[in-house]
Parts: sequence; C-alpha cells; structure tokens
Amino acid sequence: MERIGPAHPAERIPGWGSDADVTNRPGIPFPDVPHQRPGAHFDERAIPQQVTTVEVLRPPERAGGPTPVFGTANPPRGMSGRVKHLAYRYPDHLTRRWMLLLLSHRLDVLEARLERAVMPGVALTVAAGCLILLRRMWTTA
Amino acid sequence: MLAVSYEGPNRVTVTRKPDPEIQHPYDAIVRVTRTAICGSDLHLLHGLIADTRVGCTFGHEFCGVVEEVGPGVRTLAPGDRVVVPFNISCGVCFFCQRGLYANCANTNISSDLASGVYGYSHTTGGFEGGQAEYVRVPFADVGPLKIPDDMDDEEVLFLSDIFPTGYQGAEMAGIRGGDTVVVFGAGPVGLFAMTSAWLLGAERVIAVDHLDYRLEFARRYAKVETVNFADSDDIVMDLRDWTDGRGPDCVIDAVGMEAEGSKLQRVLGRMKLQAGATTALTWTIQTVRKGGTVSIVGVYGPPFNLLPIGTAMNKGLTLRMNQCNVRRYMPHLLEHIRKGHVNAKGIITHRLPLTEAPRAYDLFAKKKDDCIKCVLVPHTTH
Ligand SMILES: NC(=O)c1ccc[n+]([C@@H]2O[C@H](COP(=O)([O-])OP(=O)(O)OC[C@H]3O[C@@H](n4cnc5c(N)ncnc54)[C@H](O)[C@@H]3O)[C@@H](O)[C@H]2O)c1
Ligand SMILES: [Zn+2]
Ligand SMILES: [Zn+2]
Repeated sequence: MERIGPAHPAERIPGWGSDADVTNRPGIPFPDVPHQRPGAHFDERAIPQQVTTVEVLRPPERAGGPTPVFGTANPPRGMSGRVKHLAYRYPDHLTRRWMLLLLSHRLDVLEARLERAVMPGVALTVAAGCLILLRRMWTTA
Repeated sequence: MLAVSYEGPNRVTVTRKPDPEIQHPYDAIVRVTRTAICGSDLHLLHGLIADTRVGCTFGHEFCGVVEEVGPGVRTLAPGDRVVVPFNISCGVCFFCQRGLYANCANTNISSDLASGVYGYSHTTGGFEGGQAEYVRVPFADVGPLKIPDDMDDEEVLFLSDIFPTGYQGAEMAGIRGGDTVVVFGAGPVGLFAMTSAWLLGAERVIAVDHLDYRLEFARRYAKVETVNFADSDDIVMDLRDWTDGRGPDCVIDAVGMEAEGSKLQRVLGRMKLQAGATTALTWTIQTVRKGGTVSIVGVYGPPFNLLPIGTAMNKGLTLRMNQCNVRRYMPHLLEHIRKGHVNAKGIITHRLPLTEAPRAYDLFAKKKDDCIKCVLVPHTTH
C-alpha cells in the first residue's frame, strides 16, 4: 500500500473540511423538507400530457396512465417487440419481466444482425439475377 | 444529425438520425458541445441493462447550447449555455419535492424503479441520449443549469453526473471529521468520491482498484493512499489491518456490477444468475467497521444480486444508496470548482470527435492508453 506523508490533510488538500458542517451539505436532510423545486413553475396536476403516434409500452405500475413525458426512441418491432409486449404485462418486482426483457434483447440483436446480413444478401441476389438475365438476352440476341 | 447508435453487445457506431423535435411544451432542444462516456454506459455497452434496444443513442453526461424551447419554457432561451443533469425530473412530484430527483414519478413510463434518464435504455424511460449533435431535454426549466459566462464547458461538464455522484456517495457515507474512508474503484466516479471525502473532512482516504495506472492517477489527482487488490491475498484483512484493526468508518462502492476480483461472481453474473457481479459490494460490507456506513453509487441491475446481508445485519451497518439526485448538488459543486477546490476537468484524458465514438468506447471499456475519462466533441461552442 502507498501511504501519504505525515502532513494533516488540511495542509495539503485545498478546500479540506469546507463541508464538514452538515448544514453545508446539499443532500441533507435526505429526503429533504418537501417543496417545489427551483424552476418548476407549474402544478403537478396541470402538467400537459405528451402525445405520440409511436408505440410506447406501459407496464402495470403505470396502469393509471402514461407519464406526462416519455421517450419515443426505438418502438418495439419484430419478434423481440412481441416478447417485450409480453414482458411489460408484468410489474417490475417480478423476475419474469426482466427475464423476458433479457430474451427480447437477444432477439433484437439477432434480428438486427440478420437484417444487416440479409439486406446485402437480397441486393446481391437481385443484382446477380439481373446480370444473368442480361447475359441471356445478350447471347440469345 | 449524427448520433451514437447501439448495435448489440460491445458494438456502437455513429449513424445519421432525424434531428430531435419538441414533443412537449416544457421541452428544449440542446445543441451538444461536449458529452462524456460514463462507466454506466459500459453496462449498456455490455448488454447488462434490461431493455437496451438496438439503434438507441447513449449519453447522459452533456452540455451545450439551447437551440429551441417549447411554448411552456420560461427560464431558458435559445443561445443559453447549459449543463444538463442525467436525471429527467419534473420538480413537483412527491419525490422531486423531497429532493429525490433520481426517483421522479413523472418521467419514466417504463418502470417505477427510477426517474427517466437520457440515453439509458427503456428501463429508464426510452429517452434518446446526448452522444449526438442534438438532444431533446424535457422539463427544461427544472433540470438544466445555466453555465456562468466565465466558465468553459469542460469545467462544468461533470456537474451532469460524476462529480455530484461522487459527492453524494461521500455524503451518504456519513463522513465526519476524523473518519477513515475507503473508496472501491478508482474510475471517474471513485475519483470524485475521494475528492469529496476530503471536502467533508475525512482524515484518511484509501483507494482500492487493480489498475496501477488508475491508482497512480488517484495518488496524484486526489492525494489519497492506494492499494492494488490484485497484489493482496486478502484485501478485506489487509484493509482492516491498515485501519487500526477495526476497519474503516465509511466505505464507498464506486465500482458497480462489472467488478473484477472473483471468478465465481463473474461467472454467476455472466450466466445471469444474478444481475452482475457484487464482488466490490461484498468487500465493502466485509471491510467496514462494525456500526459503520456503506454507501453504494456503483450501479446494479434488477432483479437480484448475491449479497452477504447477514454480515451487514450482524455488524450493525448502515447501507445508503441511490442514483444521484444530480440537480440538488449542481450549484454547490459549481462553487467548489470555481474556488479551485476541485479541478473537475483534470480527469479528462481523451478528447475525440463524435465520429470517433467507437474508438472512445474501446479505449474506456478496455482501459487502454491510461484512459480515465473520454469526452466527445459533436460541436464546438463558439
Ligand atoms: N449512482 C449513480 O448515479 C451513478 C452515476 C454514475 C456512475 N455510476 C456507476 O459508478 C460506477 C463507476 O463508474 P466509473 O465511470 O467510475 O466506471 P469505471 O469503469 O471507469 O471505473 C470502475 C473502476 O472499478 C475498478 N474495479 C473493478 N473491480 C473492482 C473491485 N472489485 N474493487 C475495486 N475496484 C474495482 C475498475 O478497475 C475501474 O477502475 C459504475 O457502476 C457506474 O454505473 C453511478
Ligand atoms: Zn454517468
Ligand atoms: Zn418529479
């Protein structure tokens, strides 16, 4: 182990102990005395609801309604999407939910790889087909 | 715009995506000037966080310039420079009212575990991240902090996550004057936990890791004592011996679910028999003195992990943990940076253009080229 020389930290560390007094610590008390946070100029019940055309999955813990804002990245798709549908039927304290999400992730990765592999494959086949056809036409003409 | 895109475990690329749009009256769009890669992003990269979807954009540490605001935004205007906390929080719900920004009830549609987080899988709400040229910022009046004119982006960038996270880690550890503190993990979060432990008045701070270059950096940057657990037959016994035989008063886990040091733990983690390895966390519980406090800032996933809870119970420990309530700490820590107590940007070892994100991930994930922290530059400020 590497030890540091004998000098007290106050002598070698700038700002040492400046928050030693707990009243100088921004996270205390934890939880804080309830109050509206700076910048929040609205009432919770009056927050407008985000709307979207994208499919967003909502688990039972959100049965009361969607949160006023949410992300719309990467809507569920393909087989992995179907498994996600199933996963989000279960609340987050059930292991089932997480195991299904794990499965859907593996499927998602597989589907994306297949797409990458298949798309050039399809393009190549079409191109080769056209070439063969052209050659036929050329040689029979 | 250009954005980082997740392509499955261990693979990210940079692709073109549509620019983000205002989707809610309280939204802003921010043009990103600096964004960093975090240890938390590595958990995503390695496919360890549930419902991380192929094609999503990571990035929850960023600052930039407000490009556009929704009709309900009052305190921000286009042109304002801002640093944005990683938590997306409403500021008015039961949890936000109590300062628990990380537990906001109004921003995570996909689970009740935590608030929404930028670029952090659908488990935290399915929001796009900041490792992109532009990003959508919901509740723009609540989260972002305006950057003072006399400070540059990199000085304040880490107020978005790791400095507050390290500080909260030290604060939750309940450090009092004269305490001995052990920090597991000498990564960016660990380094800020160490510097924060000094601010709170710790008498001794000891860093534990197995990467010599990081321990060397910790000695220089955070002026702490260090120990490499790979050189120790029994790190728990050694740490106790070095702390009057009793064990340290406070121990901080700044490692998380990808801890090294136990083959059994790694295997169980890989096989998904638990949500990642709890090696470091187990050591914190075993090392801390009886009646001491363990503070957990390393990230662990649901649904469960192996933990010596009986040891914690019999030793009468206090366990504290959370995702960081970043916004609560930003103004206070900004002052520490301004006063020169903490040189936050001093941990940056690599700066790369956004287009080189895959290389930056490789450097940081594999701990190459003495990497401590990578910053990506999508746009320059002026
Ligand atoms: N709570 C929060 O809000 C929050 C915020 C940011 C990051 N985090 C988490 O903090 C953790 C650290 O983040 P980082 O950016 O510093 O990551 P990092 O990967 O750079 O650092 C982790 C360090 O831990 C070391 N390590 C591995 N096993 C160890 C062990 N058994 N004992 C001691 N050290 C060990 C590694 O060598 C590495 O240096 C991650 O889990 C990250 O997700 C939490
Ligand atoms: Zn982070
Ligand atoms: Zn809230």
